[in-house]
Amino acid sequence: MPTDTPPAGSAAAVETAGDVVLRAQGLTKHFPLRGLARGKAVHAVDGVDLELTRGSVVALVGESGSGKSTIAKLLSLLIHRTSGDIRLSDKSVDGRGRRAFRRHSKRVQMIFQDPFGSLNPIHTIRYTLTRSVRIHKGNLRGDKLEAALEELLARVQLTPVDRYIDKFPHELSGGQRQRVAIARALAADPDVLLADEPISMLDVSIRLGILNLLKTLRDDMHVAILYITHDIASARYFADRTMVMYAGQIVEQGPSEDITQTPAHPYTRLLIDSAPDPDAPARTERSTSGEAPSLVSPPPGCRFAARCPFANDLCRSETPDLFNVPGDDRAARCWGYSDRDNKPDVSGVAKSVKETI
Amino acid sequence: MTTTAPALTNATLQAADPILEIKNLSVDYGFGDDPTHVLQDVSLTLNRGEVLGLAGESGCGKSTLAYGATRLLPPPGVIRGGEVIFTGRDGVKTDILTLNDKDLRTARWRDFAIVFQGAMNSLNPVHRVGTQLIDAIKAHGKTATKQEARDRAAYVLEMVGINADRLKAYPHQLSGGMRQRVMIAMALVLEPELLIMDEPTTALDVVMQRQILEEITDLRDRLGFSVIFITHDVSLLVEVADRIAIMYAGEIVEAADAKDAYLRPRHPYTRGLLNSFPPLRGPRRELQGIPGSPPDMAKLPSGCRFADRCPFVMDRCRTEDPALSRTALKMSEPERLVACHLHDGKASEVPAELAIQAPQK
Repeated sequence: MPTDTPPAGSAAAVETAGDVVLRAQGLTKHFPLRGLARGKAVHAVDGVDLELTRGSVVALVGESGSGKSTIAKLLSLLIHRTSGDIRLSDKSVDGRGRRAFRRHSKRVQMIFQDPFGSLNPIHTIRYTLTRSVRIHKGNLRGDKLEAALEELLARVQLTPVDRYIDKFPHELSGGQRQRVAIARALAADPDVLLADEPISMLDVSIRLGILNLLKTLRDDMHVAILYITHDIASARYFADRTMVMYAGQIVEQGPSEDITQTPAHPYTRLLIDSAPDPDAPARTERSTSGEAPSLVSPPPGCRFAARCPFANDLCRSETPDLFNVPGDDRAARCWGYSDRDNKPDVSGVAKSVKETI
Repeated sequence: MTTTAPALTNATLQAADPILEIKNLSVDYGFGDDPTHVLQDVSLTLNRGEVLGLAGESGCGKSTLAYGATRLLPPPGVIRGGEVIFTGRDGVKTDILTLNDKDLRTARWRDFAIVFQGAMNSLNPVHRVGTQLIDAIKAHGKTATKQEARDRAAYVLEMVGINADRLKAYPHQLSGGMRQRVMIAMALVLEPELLIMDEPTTALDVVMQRQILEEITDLRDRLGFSVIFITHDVSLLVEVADRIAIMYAGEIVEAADAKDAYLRPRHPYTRGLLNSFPPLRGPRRELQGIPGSPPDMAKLPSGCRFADRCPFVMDRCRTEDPALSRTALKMSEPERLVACHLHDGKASEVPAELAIQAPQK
């Protein structure tokens, strides 16, 4: 046997970690308006490319209304895309028809923001989980069912199982409820978990517990996780890669640590400077004002131009692409990183961050 | 009506000048034989010109404390005892809890105003913003003419950074951040001496939150009011507040200077809470939050209420309820109060994390 070939097991290992499971290309969603505004549409998500790989967490950070949750709904096929493509294990999916949707949801599961709303209050945890197990794993009964339920609860660290299984949702705390919601998603043995603000409704002291649990799932089960949040500090803590969204577009993407420590896009910088940070020295300058543009008829050019301190005429007239940024696999939707002659000077983005550190 | 009392803007200098003293306030929920004792003998002092942060998890009683002290508790909340002494600019002391209805009505908004949680939804959707502002002026202010009231409304709106022509707007025409500003303007319309803000920025994005906070700080410097700022986000409080009080299960467990509490937490809960926020800068490390969940207020354990979740729990914690008092290091820390057996001087050894010696300043 030649020694230079990799051992047989490694091929399988590559398949379980680092493989792209879910990929979106040019994902776009326009919500048509009715009534007087008929014919117009809200451009909720515009041309988003995204890759979820096994055993890694991608964070989607942005303010409310930036389209983060719409992306999660599109990826889980709860709503249909306007254009673009979603590929699960390199096969295009559109989820039209009940069986196709079931097939998809078996592999792509969602965790919702509000564990108080996502669990049926009139059913016990046993009922909720049994239903999920039976839908996804066939009609288990007796000991087999019991074992499956026990394994699920153990995985989300709700042990001893007897203490929780026959409770109603109102008898559990917010953190425990969110764990049950995660267990329900795990019943399908999914490849992808879409977690839409999974901790923002929870008490601060138990948020990290949920994030650490999702981390264990990533490491032990090699699930691909999309973590949607408005808190860029938690993205830094939890996610391997971070994508920053603004007004329906990805404005910056790259490894979480690089993005939070040396942001390239002016909006990312604004987000980071605005986040509460007790270690930051006293602020002297006032922050940028303004709000996200209307998504019904987005302005021409860069969508952040109106708020950007570096914007010039180019930014206000032409829409930038994602340009490569020096660093490991990073990109920013900002003309400052293009090779145009009349590009804006964005060297201030990095400088002002250094000053605040 | 113009801005008055500029002499008091630097009131932080007059350190021991309390504007609000909450003494042994007790609040129950429920009228029956078995009410839930949510607050028991809670005391807290707010000094003039100070921003006092009140932090804790949901259900710890921070809103109840603020609403109880201002007699705004909706049933089944019942104030069972205590005193809330408000000292006006003129030095007159009144006990808010014993005011009659008429005096209470006058005192509200003129002496103390509140910005409620989810304020963006507290505006009436069918009335213009201006009408609602003028309403407040008329209902609580001295008899103002229509024109005076309108001018005043325009003035406060400009003060929070909204163009006066927005008086004619309906709430749905404003963004969340602007609605929040309108609520702050409305609270400030009669120049109260005390502003209570209950999670004023929780529903907003970080960028808008930062703007509103800057706005509040500016206004405080200009108008010289005192603020009680309620939030669950301790890292935010450390930036905004001069002093913070941490609440847990209906009790204040630690009260200290904001920076001090952040750099040198003494109560295990404060430390746990601060460790629940992943940092944006500095080394990345594994954080644990606080295991377990807060006790059921209807079935409180005996002894320290944090004992079940405390990593430093001792036998004594299960039986004796620690009182909020000075630490054994009282000479170096006159400002700090902690309710923990570790710090009463009798504990054999204080864990290193909580026992960083005297301030290094």
